[in-house]
Amino acid sequence: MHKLSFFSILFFLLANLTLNAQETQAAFTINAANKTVVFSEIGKLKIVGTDANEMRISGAGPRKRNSRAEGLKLISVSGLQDNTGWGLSVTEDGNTITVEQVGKKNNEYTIELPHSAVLQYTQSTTDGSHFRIESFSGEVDVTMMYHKVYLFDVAGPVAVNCVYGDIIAEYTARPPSGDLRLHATYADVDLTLPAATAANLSLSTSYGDMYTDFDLNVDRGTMNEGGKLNATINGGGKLVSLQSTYDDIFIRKK
Amino acid sequence: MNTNFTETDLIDYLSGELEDSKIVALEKAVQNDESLHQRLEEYRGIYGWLNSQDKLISSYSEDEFLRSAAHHLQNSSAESKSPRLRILRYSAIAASILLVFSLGWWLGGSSVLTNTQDFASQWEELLEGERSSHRIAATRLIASQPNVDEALISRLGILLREDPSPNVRLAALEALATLGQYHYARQELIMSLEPNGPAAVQIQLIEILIELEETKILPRLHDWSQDLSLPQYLRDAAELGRFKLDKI
Amino acid sequence: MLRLIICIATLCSTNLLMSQVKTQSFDASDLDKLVIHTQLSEIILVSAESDRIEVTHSLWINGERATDMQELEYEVNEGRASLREVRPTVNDINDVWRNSDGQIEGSFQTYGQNPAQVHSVKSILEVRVPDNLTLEATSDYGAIKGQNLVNLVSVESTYGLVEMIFDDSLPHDDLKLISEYAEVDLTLPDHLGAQLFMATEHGDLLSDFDMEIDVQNSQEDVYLKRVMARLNGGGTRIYCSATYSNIYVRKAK
Repeated sequence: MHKLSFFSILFFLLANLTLNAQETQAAFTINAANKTVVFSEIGKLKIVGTDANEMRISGAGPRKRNSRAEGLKLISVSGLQDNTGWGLSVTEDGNTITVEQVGKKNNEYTIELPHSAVLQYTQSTTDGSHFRIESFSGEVDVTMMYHKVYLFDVAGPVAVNCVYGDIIAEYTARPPSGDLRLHATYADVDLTLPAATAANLSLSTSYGDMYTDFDLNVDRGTMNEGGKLNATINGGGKLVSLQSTYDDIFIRKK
Repeated sequence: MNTNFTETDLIDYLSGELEDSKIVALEKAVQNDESLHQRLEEYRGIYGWLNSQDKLISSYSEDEFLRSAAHHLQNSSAESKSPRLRILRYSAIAASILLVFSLGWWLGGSSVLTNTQDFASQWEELLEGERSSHRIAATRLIASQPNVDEALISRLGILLREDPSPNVRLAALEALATLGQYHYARQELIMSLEPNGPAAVQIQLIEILIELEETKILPRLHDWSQDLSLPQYLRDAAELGRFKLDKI
Repeated sequence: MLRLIICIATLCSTNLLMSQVKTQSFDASDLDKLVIHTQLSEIILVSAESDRIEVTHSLWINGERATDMQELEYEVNEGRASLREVRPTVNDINDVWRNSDGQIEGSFQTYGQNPAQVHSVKSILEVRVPDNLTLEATSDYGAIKGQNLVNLVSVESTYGLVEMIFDDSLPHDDLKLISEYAEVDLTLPDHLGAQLFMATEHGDLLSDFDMEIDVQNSQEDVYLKRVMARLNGGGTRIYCSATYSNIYVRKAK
């Protein structure tokens, strides 16, 4: 314990020496209108839809800068280069833009993405943190292993799969305008929709429960012991497919 | 009966999309072929009715309609004589028209098809689409048919094993699971049970095969549960699957 | 006869340096190697064109010089000199920080919450080393820094920074720079050849060199990075490891 406290002081002092005051850094921008933007293994990422044509990368708040790293580049065996100044590699090949983390995945990013873009995201490790998308109208295709996925007013079409993290989707003003497919293996799927939403529901859980305050018009023929059912709300409409193999499904009225 | 003109040709003709060279031939054939003339009139009536509707299908939410469309298109060569069959035939024609328009919307954001591709090529186009939403839509479309041939099931199997998007693989898996009554679909599912691939898909595939009571996979699950070189999640899923299948 | 003289010199020089004198000097004319170890102190190594080892041991607690808590041990054995910090120890520092209730106030948790309770410690062992001596340095908590030590072979700190600068020459032999929890910062001449081995499990590798990375013998996955690279075609082998922190390899200005 004594050693720990002493070391803590030294560590703190060292940290103060190496980490300068937080600074503001210029955002990185690239035209991403009508392009597929592939994000891979990013730390903590928030995507916000924009009417602009430019994708804009910036930090979530002022970025902590390491004075020792000034003027140096990250060394990467795979050849990735931080060409954004934000510890991210952005490369463009035809109609596809790929955004990858270079180095440690403890940075937080806010990225504004044109509504006309297609968003693909993959996070397969315990590194980084949850993934959040807000007010985005483009297509979304997300694969997450450990962390939660939050969707707020993401018009779609949306397809999200997550093994260990919850998927939480909320539509505050308008229902999804494209098909919505949320698949969690060992975690909850929690969806909030405007009360007037008309949708065709496809629900499935093998070992969890399903909860809702909507009035479901259940297609009795689709019900089985495996925990599957199809139903409509408000007469039916877009597909809303929710699956949580080992956990619960929640569909809430807004 | 002139068999050189397909339903798509007739629909294209009515919507003004048929090639000029075919228009002349079709009009000539209609004059000489009473059955073709009848078919065209049937289509014209339904097409007119559809045009009078404000609602144009633009989503795959109209599952039942699409399903019946695909079904009747596959059996369109059969002549319908009874009133009930006649109604079904009308439905099929309507559905086919709707399907053409919905596919056109899905593929290009346009409500009008621009060529004479048949429906197989439409599925093909969806399956080959760059966007994962297109390929997901294709899996649903295929699964919604009452009769699916081996080739299409094989395509679903390829999607399940090879698609770059795990969400498309999950959709293909779901489609194959709904086609579980087909021997080929089960074969594709079992063939896809490999110790590599996206975690969510692997775990879900094991779950599906358990639901289908495919005890053939027991030896593989046993091996996986013991294989320390595999990721923990897969060993756990294999062990759990083995336990559940043992009880069947 | 020479052996006898060396033994006598060894016996005489083996002592505990508890005096108030902060600077001590030792004859190094018959030495081949110097090994330095501290528990707490930062080690600053300076290359000197001299045949004497000069040691300055300084300790400040809460900004004030503390001279009653410094203790070094110097031993010579068959051409190998060992300079070891005996005090201050971790317990020494914690005793200073302990309040009447027996609680240690100088902990990270209290820092900033009650400035009146903030304690600081600064302990430096500066060693001027004859440039012909092979040199090794280790520390438990202290940083280890040095410049142009061409006979340096090994530097290792558990919790402290390792910072080595080579302005216009490279080590004559293989060099090992290791910090378990802190950074390793290496400066090299931009025109000389070296072969680098860099390893971290939770940190980053950074450089302004155009490195020729040996992809076949390098490894990069989610956490682990092991990179083998050549600078200017390769040369002196330098191994850098910072398990929990970053490694910097920079060009000398």
